[in-house]
Amino acid sequence: MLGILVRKEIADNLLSYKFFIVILLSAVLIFTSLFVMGRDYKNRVADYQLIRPKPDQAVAVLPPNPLSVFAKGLEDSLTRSYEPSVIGIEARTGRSSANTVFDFFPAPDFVYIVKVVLSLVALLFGFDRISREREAGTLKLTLANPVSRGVLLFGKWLGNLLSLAVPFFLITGIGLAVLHLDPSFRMTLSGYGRLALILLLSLVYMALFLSLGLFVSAVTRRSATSLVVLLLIWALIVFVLPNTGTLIARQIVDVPSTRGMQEKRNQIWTREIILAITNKESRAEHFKVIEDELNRLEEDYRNKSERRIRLAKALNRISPAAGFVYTATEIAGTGIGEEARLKREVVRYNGRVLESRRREEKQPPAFEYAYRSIGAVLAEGGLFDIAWLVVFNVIFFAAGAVAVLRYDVR
Amino acid sequence: MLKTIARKETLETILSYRFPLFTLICLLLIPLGLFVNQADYGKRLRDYQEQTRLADEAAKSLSIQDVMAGTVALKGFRRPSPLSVFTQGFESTFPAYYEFTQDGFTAGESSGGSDSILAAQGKVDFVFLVQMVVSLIALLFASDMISGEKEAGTLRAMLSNPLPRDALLAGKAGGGFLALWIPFLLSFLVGLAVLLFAGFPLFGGDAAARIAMVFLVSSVFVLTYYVIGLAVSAATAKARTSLVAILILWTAFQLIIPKMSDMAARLVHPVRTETEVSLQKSLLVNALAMEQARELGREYDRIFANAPESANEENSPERKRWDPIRDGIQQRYRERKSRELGAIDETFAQEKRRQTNLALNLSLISPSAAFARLVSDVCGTGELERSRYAGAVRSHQNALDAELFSKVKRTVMLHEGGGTSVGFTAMPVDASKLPKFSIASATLAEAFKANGRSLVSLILWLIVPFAFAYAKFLKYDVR
Repeated sequence: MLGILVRKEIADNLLSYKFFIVILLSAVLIFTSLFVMGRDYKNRVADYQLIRPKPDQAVAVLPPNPLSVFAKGLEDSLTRSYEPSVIGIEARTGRSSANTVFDFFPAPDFVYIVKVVLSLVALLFGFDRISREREAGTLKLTLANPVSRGVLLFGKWLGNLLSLAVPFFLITGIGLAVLHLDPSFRMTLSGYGRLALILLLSLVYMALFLSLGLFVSAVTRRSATSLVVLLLIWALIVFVLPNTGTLIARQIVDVPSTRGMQEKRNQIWTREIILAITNKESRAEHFKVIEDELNRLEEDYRNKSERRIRLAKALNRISPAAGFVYTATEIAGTGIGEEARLKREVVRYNGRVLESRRREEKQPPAFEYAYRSIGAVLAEGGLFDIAWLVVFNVIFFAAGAVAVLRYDVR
Repeated sequence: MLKTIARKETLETILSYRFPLFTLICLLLIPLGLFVNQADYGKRLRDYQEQTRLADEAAKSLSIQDVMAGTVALKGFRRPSPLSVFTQGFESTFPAYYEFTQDGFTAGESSGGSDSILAAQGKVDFVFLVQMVVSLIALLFASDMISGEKEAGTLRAMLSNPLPRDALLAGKAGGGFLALWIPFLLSFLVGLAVLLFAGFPLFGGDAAARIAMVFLVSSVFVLTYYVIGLAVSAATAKARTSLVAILILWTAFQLIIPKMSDMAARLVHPVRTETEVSLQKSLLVNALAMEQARELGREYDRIFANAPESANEENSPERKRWDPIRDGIQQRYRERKSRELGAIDETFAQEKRRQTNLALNLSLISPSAAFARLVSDVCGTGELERSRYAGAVRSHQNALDAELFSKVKRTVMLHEGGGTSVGFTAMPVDASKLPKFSIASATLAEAFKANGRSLVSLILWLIVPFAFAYAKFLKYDVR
């Protein structure tokens, strides 16, 4: 019976013009996004070739990440170049985008499109599934057969999910193939693994909105009502909730401003330098003091800001959209966790460079950085976020099942 | 009759379940968005004040030795625009400061990068909310104005009165929009109250006028979308069809057209990256410096070949010959350098301008882009501010060149045998009289003048859909 229901949903979708328009729209969006972001990536690679440090330069700079085409995240911050020096680390923009018109609207990466548009598409697939069939009178007929209401709902969910997932994977696959026509775009095997995980995550995210659509469709009598209610919820989930947590966290945890830090750093430096000049024998000690104090200052700042970020993230997770973005960017290696890790690595590198200068070595040590493995990302919160999305799915679906049980099908 | 229709439409909207929902969304989103951005602005302003104070202190203790050593980097900071509370625009991508040195200026870090958690989620400001959320709701409200009444059968009853169809359409549009506009106005006022409560300077300078303009333009923008929704509703027979059509239009206007125009502009007018250009410039500067050093060395060797010790005597005949020759060479190279660097800058700026203009013009097909650009210029975070900032940086560099950097001449010489020597001449500099960096912000009138095309786009999007709706409605089968 379930098979028949699923087949019926798919056939229903395939026969409606709405399906084709929506799929066409998604295709245009995804192709546009991959093309725009692919070119952006190419430009950044060209820039990186120019600013790449030579062996005698002590500069930490990462090459652009090909997965940033799909999830831009904090890529711009990650690919900055960091120059170690005695008074702290100087960060410079790794590149300057040639086309600044680009910054005016949000970067249309794959994750953004899934987050904003495909969630809306999933809602469109679900919003009138129950109420319209009631209006058309077919719900009565279906339920006259020996089929439980739970199976009916599951059949609808699965059928619609399949009619969403198949075109979604096809379109993305074609887009990826086109992206590979450009020889400068190269991804490693683990990159494909990461991408597959992001796609899977996107599917879970879309399924969540489908469940939500089915649920609201089952508690409203008219399909127009259900659409408006769903749009309100959608706006809340996608735009409002992901930022309230940040706002609250800002009020709770106070972090000194980045520039205020600069002042403190300069104070310490000046004080110790003057001391170093006045008593010459202990000069090395004073330099050591500078380094230690600066490191402590940096450590304190980092701890505070990490605490704030953790709190903000935890609060933002009320919205599945926030959890989705966090996990997708972490998997791609452009997330908040990756950035924090890179900064710690840069601080360590700074110490190594200063050490090598003290020993008067000819060549500074080279900066090396390896992105976290997928396993590490999943262990450090990724798995939790995925589970969180699944929990949302189950809750909405269960609520939908309860609503369908009580639904007056006449 | 028009009034009756309008009143009926307003009442109907207010009584529908959608109205409280919309009011709730607006009241929740708009004040929240303003508050978040106000907090952000406060932080950037504090950073700015702290940094300018530090930079001023550093400038006071500036000595001529520093200038001689070539290690002086004077910073000019951009004061964050207060109205960035309403729209971020380019605000977070502008460099927070520029560094001015003898060899020209370099951009500092942009002010946006420091808060990673915000950057990860994207910006949510007033303009973004109006552009994405309120516009969608306006479309939604308008989507079943005609088709909904047809389905309910009331359209027939209304038209049996002595009522021309244009009056019906205008009344419906006016009344429906009024019901939408009131909660919008209300939440905007609540947002302003929140700002006032948070200590935002609402009444400083022409801020009040600008904010009023922001609201006015936003209202026109929402009306535009309302009329587009009306046109769709008049062109479709079923309410559900019009819903789908509306969502597609919305996505096209918000997401596809603005980005497509960028892409098209990049394909038509490709531009070198800024890194490439600055590399080209530094190569040129180095080459010229080398050539100049060689020429100076040759002249020096020629003049002082017979009396090397006279180089340090102020009044020796050799010195009298050498000084004007040296000044002449330096003058020539300085001019040549500024000419050639200027040429590179100019071609690059032209390339970029061509590309930006094309992208801008294409994006104006979408009323959302027109709206965003116009408001960002009114708020001082748009394209206009960018060009003002760039202009201010250039003129500040010229002023500093005249006041400070030209006071010190560093003469690097490369002798034939391969040896190098460096000489200095310095004039006294009064560090407290150095020019201050400031940007002349565009006035409101200038902002509107620069955005004529955006205005035209908005107005066209107001008139054309209405005309279309009218033409369609005249032929509409009301049964």
